[in-house]
Amino acid sequence: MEKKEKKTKKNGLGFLKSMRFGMVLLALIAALSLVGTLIEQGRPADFYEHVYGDWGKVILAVNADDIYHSVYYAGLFFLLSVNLLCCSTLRIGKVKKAKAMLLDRVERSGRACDMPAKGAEDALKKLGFKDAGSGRFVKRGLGLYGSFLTHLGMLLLIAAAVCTFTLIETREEGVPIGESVALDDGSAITVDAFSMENEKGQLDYLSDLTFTGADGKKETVQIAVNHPAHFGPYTIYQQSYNRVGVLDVRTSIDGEDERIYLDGEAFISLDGQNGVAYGQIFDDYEVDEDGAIMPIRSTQMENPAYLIMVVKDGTQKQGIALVDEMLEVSGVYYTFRTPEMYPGLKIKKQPQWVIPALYTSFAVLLAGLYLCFFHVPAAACVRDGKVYILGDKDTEELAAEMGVSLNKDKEEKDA
Amino acid sequence: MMMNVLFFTPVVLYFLAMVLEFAGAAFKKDGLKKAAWVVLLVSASVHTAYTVVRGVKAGRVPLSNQFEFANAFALGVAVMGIVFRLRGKQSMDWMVTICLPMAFLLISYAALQPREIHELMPALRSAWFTLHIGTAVLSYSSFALAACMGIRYLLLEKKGDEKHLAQLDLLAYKMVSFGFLMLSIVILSGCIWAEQAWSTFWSWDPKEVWALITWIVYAIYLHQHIRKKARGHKMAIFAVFGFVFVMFTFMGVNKLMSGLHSYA
Repeated sequence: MEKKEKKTKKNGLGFLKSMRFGMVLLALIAALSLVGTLIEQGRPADFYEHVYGDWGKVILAVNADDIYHSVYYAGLFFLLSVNLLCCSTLRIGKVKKAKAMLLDRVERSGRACDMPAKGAEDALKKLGFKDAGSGRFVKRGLGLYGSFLTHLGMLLLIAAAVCTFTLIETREEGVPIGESVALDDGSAITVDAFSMENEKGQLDYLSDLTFTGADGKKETVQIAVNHPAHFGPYTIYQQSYNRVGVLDVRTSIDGEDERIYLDGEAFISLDGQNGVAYGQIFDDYEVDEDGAIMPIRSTQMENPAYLIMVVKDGTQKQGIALVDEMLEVSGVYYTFRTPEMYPGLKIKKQPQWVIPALYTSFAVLLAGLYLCFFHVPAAACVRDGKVYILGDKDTEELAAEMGVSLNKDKEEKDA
Repeated sequence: MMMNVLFFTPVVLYFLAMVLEFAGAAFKKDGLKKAAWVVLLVSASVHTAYTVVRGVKAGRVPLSNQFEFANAFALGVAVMGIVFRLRGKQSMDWMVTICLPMAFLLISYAALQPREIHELMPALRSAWFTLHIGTAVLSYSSFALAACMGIRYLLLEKKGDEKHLAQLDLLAYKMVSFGFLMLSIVILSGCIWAEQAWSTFWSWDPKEVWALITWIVYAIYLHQHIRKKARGHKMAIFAVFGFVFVMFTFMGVNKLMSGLHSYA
């Protein structure tokens, strides 16, 4: 009974660490990933019912509208991690065994070469072989760690990726020039300037920021696409840009302006009844034959125009307000100014160890792959007055690398 | 005009070399095969000159869109074929036969794309640009040659030249190994770049996902190659099968799916 239990346990672990299981998991991950590119991800539920008909319900039921965040997709990565942990990482001790096996193989199936046996030891050492005892030599032994490091790198990468998905908090903020955004540790970011052209005259998106720490210490920096700024656990990205309408309001003709930024539909009024309703900004306008202003869309904001509605004494009149044109409504003066561009910032907060951990996994994975494919171990042995060599992948290539010729030893061996 | 001449000269020459190579093989005329080899060398030289001139004119490495990538991809295949042929001498003269059709098809695809030189968009102006896309060219070129070797294996399988078949199997494995390492660099450097540009390492963008799928397909190939029983016929089919994923990642994703890499 105990024996049977042990066997079952052994079989279970054997399956978990088997290469076949790993391959099946990889194939399933690839297949689900492929499905995720065929079905639009992250759209509202009615989109799927509208586009896919009855299949829409199936898509929603199996969470295929968000495959990459589904339980079964995450589950596959979990099982892959278990497989990686079992199949390779826990078997580091077997690297030594692999070295012994390679040395045994060179004894059994190494190919004789024309290197003279006399003085072979020194010649092999000059060619980079290391003495492994009993007349046997190994070259690029580090390559035996390639598979272990590759799988360890994959395991670390999955772990670090899970950390990035779960520990990182991000938020997006559109911040008009001169405005600030408060961060949750008491610090703040102020946008001082924004431009859409770099010093070479190329299109670029540049924001000048002032970071004010919780202790009041200020730091200024410029960010751009590909050039985020780091402040402690925060990273600030130049994410997008938008434009905001600018309206100056004064209560008498020689009064002082009060500036209002318009980033969405708004009704601006002092008494709550009479005033100006702002709709949207157009990039440009044309004047038709009757002298009427026709707003148009354009790629360049040549002559911006505001779509507004004047509300006065219970009447509403839609119209276009041009830049610097002053409107008087019930004794209040409204002047629309040139719209301002402002940046959309992405603010990311993450533990400071996450990125180094992820980069470490990248380095381990690449080092492992390099060792696997380009640091392939080789072995040699001196026996019966002959030198035998064995390249783990290609003995002929090893012979060419060593500058020796392989003897036709197969016939000799058979004899 | 000058740029057009420089570009279309290798298109014509690859075709001519391909015709000479196949005629040489069909009529067993070594002279024709030698001529094909010389035309290939001239063609690759002009192709390199065109790519360099385009890069100088653009003021950057010319790898920013489908045309430039396909152009570099074709050049990568041709140059890799030439390097193998030079290293292996006579034992590798078959490399010319397999790299020519691939180089010609890729440069023909490039010829169908818009060729205007555009200023790089802000997201592409990064130190990672050359590494990320340059390694993609190397990776795809390696997979292309591995697929060609797979096709050659399948075509010659019945002739039963075991030594040549074993050479093809091993070389295809080596090409896939190199391509796999390069593809890993493509994906990982892309992650680092994406974090700097878009704030996130991975966005599940179709190009990213298809690169991952391709990586998985070749990871399975490499694991299967460990098993001696699976080598040969099955691996040859696998090398060709894997390349279908490479081509979809390169062309299909851009033509059929929208995403963050739509400009590529």
